[in-house]
Amino acid sequence: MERKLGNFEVINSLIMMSIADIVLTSAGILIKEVNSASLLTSCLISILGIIITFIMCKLSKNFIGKDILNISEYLGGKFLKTIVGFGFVIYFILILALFLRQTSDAMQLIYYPLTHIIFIIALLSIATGIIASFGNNSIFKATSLIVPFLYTAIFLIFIGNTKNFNINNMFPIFGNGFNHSFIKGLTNIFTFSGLSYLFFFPSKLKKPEEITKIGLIFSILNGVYLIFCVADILFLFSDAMNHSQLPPLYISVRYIEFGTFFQRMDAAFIFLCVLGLISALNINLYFILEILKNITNLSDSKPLIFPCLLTSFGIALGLKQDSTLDFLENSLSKILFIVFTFVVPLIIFIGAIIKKKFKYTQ
Amino acid sequence: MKSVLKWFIIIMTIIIFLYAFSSSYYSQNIDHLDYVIALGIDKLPNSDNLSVTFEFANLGSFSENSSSEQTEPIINTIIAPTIPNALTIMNAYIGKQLNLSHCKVIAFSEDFAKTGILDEVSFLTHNIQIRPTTNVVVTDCNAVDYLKHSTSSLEQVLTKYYDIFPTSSEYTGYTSNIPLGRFYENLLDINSGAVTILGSLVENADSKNENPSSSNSQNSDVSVPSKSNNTSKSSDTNNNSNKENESTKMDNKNTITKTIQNNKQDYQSFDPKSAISEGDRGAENMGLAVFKDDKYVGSLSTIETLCYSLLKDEVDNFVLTITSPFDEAEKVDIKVGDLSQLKTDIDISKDTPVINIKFNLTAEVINVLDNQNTPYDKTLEKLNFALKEYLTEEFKSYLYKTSREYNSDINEFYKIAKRKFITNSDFSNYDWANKYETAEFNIEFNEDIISTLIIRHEGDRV
Repeated sequence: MERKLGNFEVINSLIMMSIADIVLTSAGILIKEVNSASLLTSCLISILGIIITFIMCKLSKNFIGKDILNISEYLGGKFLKTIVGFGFVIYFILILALFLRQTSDAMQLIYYPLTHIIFIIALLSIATGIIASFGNNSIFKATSLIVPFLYTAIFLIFIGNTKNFNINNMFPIFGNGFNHSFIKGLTNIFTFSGLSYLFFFPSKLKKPEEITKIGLIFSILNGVYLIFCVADILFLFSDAMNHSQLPPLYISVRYIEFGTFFQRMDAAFIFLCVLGLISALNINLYFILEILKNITNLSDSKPLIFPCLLTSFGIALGLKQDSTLDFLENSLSKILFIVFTFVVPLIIFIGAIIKKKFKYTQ
Repeated sequence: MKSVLKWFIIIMTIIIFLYAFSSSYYSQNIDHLDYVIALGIDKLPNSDNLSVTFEFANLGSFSENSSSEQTEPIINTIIAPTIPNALTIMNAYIGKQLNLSHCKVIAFSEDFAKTGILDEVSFLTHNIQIRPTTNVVVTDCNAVDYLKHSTSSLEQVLTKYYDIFPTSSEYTGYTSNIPLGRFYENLLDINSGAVTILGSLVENADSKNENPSSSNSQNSDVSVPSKSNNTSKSSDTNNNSNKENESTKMDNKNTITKTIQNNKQDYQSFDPKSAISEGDRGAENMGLAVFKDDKYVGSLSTIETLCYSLLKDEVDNFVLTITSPFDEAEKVDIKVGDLSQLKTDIDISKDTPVINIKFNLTAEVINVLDNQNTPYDKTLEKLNFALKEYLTEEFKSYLYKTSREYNSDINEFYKIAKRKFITNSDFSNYDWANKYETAEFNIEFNEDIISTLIIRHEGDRV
């Protein structure tokens, strides 16, 4: 019997998934797409994210303690549960592979220039596998320890860079045009990537009835983090550094100098990020294993660790070309996020609620 | 049996990873690295090759047994078509791997900067080892000479000097802290101009140069021939490069022995090409080098640099010397401090942008003034008027120089102008990059800049 999770652990885990995405790619993508309007767009995305989370949580309240797989089973039986489950497994494995590749690329560029990428990906995969074998206790407790530091780090980065800021970088306020900034720009709601995992938590919560509270706190904290990240990059160098291979937030940390004594903040930031990214990889793998366990009725998910990691290792290794990586980051993951975070859960929730009401009236 | 297999796999995995990561560890081991503290980049005359100079930290000076006397830095030069090529050759030459993470200064010679340096700056900015806070200097001499003359017995550790000298901008305004990251952004931006610190040789620099190159055996000019052009003609290439080498040395000598004007001008408006300092250090960093697109177009004097720094809000306090309004032969020293944020407004309603700048300054007169006849408030009024007139003239001269002469918006007024536009395409249509050349400037100051002064009356003298 697995230990039930507290609200603090769940909120931190959700934020961890979003932070990993924001730090690695999405903040840079947002600025590249909407340019000077990115701060305004990220504010709108945050508001939209909070509203959507609230609606989804309210809908899920009709099935307290049930995760999305249980609800889909209720709606369409084992068949629907298996399809939805496999859909999520594919989506999460893709995210796992992307995280693996991006983290390994950054580590190779910064610390291991002479080590082949295959070994870095393998090292991260093995570390993830070992931690996953210890179960959810170690994953969520470690995440709860790291996230507050990562969250505080963004404020310190923002404060540390204040003297280098040029607030005028946020003008013209509508960037590349109203449609481009606010209609197309809103597709960047994938910065709320932690939301995809929210619907798998209710069955693991100590207090499943507090799912709305968890969702709201997560979405507000996620929004604040996004705004600070985007503001830091936008005020510092707009999109001039966005063509670098390194995450823009990391480049922004390299600008920070507190006098002549504290100059290399990037080392501390990388250390925190690597810890955080390993946590994100673990949370991702944990949910892949849980879904597979649920749809295959296995009593233990440990035998699945190796095949799952091998699959994501293979995909990560296959993402050799920048154009493929760009396509996955900018297009495919956006579409998959919208499908698996909004469309699929919304259809399942509405369908299940209608079915429930129909049953009651009968 | 299962347990043995498990341990075998674990041990094999550890060995494989140790092997895989050892190359990165070995190459980045502190014992296997040579730390570059400054880079100098010159263009060879009549050649496509660059002369890339590496200044290394003399690690002996950090050891416990080192004497308290200053140790000369180690300077090596490579001739290669590009900077990455020079890095590779240098790695091969020194037998250790270069590490640029402690590089504090990148110096480009003026001659090279005139030809455009975007490619080089782009490479350096995207190099993971070089920090975006590294300072960029354009030298009016060869970059190699600038590096050789940057040593001083005042500073035991040269890296510390390179770290600290740009901060003097906060209390003098005669130079500015120009990090590589910001310089690169400005080079990329078609609307903006870019600036770097201007480095020059000081008077008697030629005699100082004899020291680093001849007396110190550690310093060597190593010119490695570039083999990338045509490997089949290696002997010819060697001959050519030897000639190039000789010509570079000749060129260096010419630059080193440049004549420095003895009749110095007013220090505030001195021409940056004529050094005004004389002392132990052979190089000075005063004034700024201005870029339009990625090409060097001209320089700014110290007072113009002060104007730049004030408009950028980068200077905390500074001292000005103006001609006394009471006696033209007298000078009045004024300390300007407690600077409030200036207000800039840009009128884009007309075809010509009108830039209105309002300063809010506070100042005090440092000298004790001899004044017997004029009352205190009248003296203050006259001094305020003289200071405003002086500043207005200097600011207008500086601003019109950047617009009319250089057409380079180094103070990034376009970013303020952008506030008036809704979208980027609106701003692009306005064509700021060309309109800045015709911009008009209005300068305003607060009513009473000078708040305090001390007047010595005749009766005060004993």
